[in-house]
Amino acid sequence: MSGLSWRAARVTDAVTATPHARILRLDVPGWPGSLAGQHVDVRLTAEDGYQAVRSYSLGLGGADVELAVEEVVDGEVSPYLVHEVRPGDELEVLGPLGGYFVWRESDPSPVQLIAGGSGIVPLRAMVRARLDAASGQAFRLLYSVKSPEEAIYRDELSSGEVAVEWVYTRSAPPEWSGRVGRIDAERLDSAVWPVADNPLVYVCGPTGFVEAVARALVARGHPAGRIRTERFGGA
Amino acid sequence: MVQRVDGNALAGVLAGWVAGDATMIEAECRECGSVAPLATTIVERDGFADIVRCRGCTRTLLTVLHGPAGDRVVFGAVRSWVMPAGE
Repeated sequence: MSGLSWRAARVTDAVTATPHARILRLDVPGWPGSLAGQHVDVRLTAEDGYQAVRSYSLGLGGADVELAVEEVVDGEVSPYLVHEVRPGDELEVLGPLGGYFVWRESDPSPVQLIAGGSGIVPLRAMVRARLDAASGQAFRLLYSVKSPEEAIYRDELSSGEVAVEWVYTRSAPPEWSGRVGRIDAERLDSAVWPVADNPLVYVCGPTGFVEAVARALVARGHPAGRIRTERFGGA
Repeated sequence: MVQRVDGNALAGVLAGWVAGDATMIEAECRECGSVAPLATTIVERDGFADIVRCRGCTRTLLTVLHGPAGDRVVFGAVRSWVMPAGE
């Protein structure tokens, strides 16, 4: 056994992040702390005993347990977490999980983060971990969202603590002078550390987004072994 | 509904089967010979099963079936797996 077991968790805070997403903070007695980029499995149990399990990335590493959940249309779990759950409610979590899609402050590589939609959540944990560690690695973030209103952690990421390049696929803020549309080769060339810098690249988002970006990065010469990916399904 | 995710999502599913993080296991595909961490595989998931496919050739490496009595792992095209030292 890995020593992991389901833990009781109590919601302490539920904050609207976008019209379709909420940030949930949990109190999890015995929580061992997490690495930036890890996730938890969340288990809900209905009154009739039916159980549903979903994976959600942690928005913070360390001792805090923070999830940011985006609603999946017709989903079984996310609508409850985004619209219904209240402080004081209880659920169960298994974790922290995953050792592949994590950033460790001991790695001196420059880091390129590329997020699509709610794929920002584990990358935000990496940004916070990097700022907390004050360890000096160069970080850049390329964040693709449908519109400014759909950007989870928008205000925090706009504060200038980390270099952020925004991509708006449907609509942009009024002051935006760039083009509106999906990430293309031009944006990857201008917003991603060059291959010569040997960056460690983390890409997280919907499956189609991650695969398109990862393919484009490899085509531009980034070694596949330097690209860490996490796909959460969806459109 | 089947969700197409990746092997990172197996961490919780396989947590009871191996010591350490199962997603770091390097799985060898018998069909195409590729060796890659389970985290990088293709996973097709619904409430009943996780079908784990090789990203090199899409053959099914293994399937985790979820039943009321517990989980069952059926091995397919996985020839070997190695847990990297330190994991």
